[in-house]
Amino acid sequence: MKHALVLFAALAVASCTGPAASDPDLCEDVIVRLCSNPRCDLVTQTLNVTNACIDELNARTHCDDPAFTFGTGNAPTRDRFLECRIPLIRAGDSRTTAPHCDDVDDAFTRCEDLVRFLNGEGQP
Amino acid sequence: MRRLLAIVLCGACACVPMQEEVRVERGPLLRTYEREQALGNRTLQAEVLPRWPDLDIRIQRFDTCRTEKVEEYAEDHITERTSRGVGPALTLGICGTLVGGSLLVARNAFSNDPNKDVIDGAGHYGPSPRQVATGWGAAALTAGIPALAVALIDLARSGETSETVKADQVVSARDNLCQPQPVSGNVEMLGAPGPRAYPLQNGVLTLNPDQLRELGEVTMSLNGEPVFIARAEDEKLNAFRACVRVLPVPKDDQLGLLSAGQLHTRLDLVSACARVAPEAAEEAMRAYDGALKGVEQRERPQSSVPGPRIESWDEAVEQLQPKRHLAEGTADALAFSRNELPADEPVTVTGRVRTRTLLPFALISRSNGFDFVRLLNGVDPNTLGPVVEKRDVDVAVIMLGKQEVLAILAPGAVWDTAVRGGAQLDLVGVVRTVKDSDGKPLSLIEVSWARSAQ
Repeated sequence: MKHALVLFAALAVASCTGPAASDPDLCEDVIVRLCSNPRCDLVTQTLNVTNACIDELNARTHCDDPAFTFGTGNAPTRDRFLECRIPLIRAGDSRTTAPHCDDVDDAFTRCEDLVRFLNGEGQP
Repeated sequence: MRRLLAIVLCGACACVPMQEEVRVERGPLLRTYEREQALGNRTLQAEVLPRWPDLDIRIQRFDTCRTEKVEEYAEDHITERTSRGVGPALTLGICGTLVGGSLLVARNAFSNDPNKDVIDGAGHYGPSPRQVATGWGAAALTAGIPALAVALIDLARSGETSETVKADQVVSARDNLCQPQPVSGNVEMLGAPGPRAYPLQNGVLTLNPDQLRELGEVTMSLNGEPVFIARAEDEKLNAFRACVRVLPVPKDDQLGLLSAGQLHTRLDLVSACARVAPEAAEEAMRAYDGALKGVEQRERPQSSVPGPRIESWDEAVEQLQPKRHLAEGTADALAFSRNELPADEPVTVTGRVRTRTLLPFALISRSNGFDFVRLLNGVDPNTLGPVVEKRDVDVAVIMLGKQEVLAILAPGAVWDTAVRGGAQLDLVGVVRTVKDSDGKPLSLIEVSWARSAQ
């Protein structure tokens, strides 16, 4: 009976979330959000992107590479990246949900390393 | 753990309110019986035992017993237990268990690929469809199984139980005296001018007629405690007191002095006395009855018209054959006003009734007979001589113009018309001559019949 109760509780908790996302998916999630229309002017000006925003950022960060891993090269660590991503998912969990520009500003202000990473620049 | 869960489940079920309704259905009458119960209010009661000329009063202490008539019935006490929550709980339980169980059983049919369109704040993908189905299934089972358990337990507790018991119903009750106990001591008679104490002899107090006359009311106490006399015993006591008033019968010369009214009263008392002293009462009845007949014989010429009973105006005229007529301005009316018409003279009268009243008369004994005297205001009849009887006589005042004629009306007489104030009447009767209390002669008409004036 005890095991059954634990099982029911575990099932209930486990049903709320899936496995950990891969680093390329997590990185690309942020790029897609930033480039979603309507794209904020701050993104365009700060990251210096055009309408091919996703391609340009992928080219700078190599996030579309299945071998991409946080914490290597100029990429922040996964934990730091998740911390910086928090303002960008306030508008919603779905990756196609465009973040509010205030949240983008918040993320860029708090995470200059993220901006540098997205601009293809190395760690200071 | 299983025990704990069972206890928690039972506790939760016990909190579910069950509606309980008890219905009583009366069955057949089994038997009827009487039961007696002493109430404990013991009182002294007197029992009257007439034994003319003495009266025995037995005093005993009685309790009051209540006798109840009881009907015993069979009664079915039917208890119905229902729960309003059974329906919803059963529905939720069945649906939750079925849906949850189905989802869990069929969870492998859902894809286990995570939802990659969603990555949460911790960097996890969204749950796979299998995870969602498993979660919902677990939640549905978590709600459904307890609800089903509650519903099943409530269903088991619901139902109807019947118990047959005997029931008593008191249909009547009566109180009576019971459990007599002898008493002793001194009986204090409170009705006498001063307290009198008499000792009880074997629980009995014996009084003779002289003692009863002296006592007046019979109110007793024994050693300071009141003695009650029940209604039936009081009636016997009153009958005995009636005997005391009329027995022994006076001698003939004393009997002759009694008026008809006094004799009637004594005859009534003798009738009451007959209940407790029948032999003595029978003898007294004969004596008083004979005396009454003698008095009525003496008084008859003064108070009633002789002859057979008259039934109509024509019979009255035929029997009396009046020659004189009293009306306004007639010579006969003038002679009547001067008291010149002879006594027993039959007359007819025509006049108007001014009023009807009761006038006081007295029968005064004379050496040569009786005088019937109208009592005027302020006259003591005893100054006129020995008063045999006082009587109020029903009199109509008839107006013949301005002349006043007093007409004596027989008590209870029913004629062709009512004699009341304002009526114009024809009367037929005879002239009676009496006296006023001041000695002056007074003529009246004793009416035999009356009719409306023709």
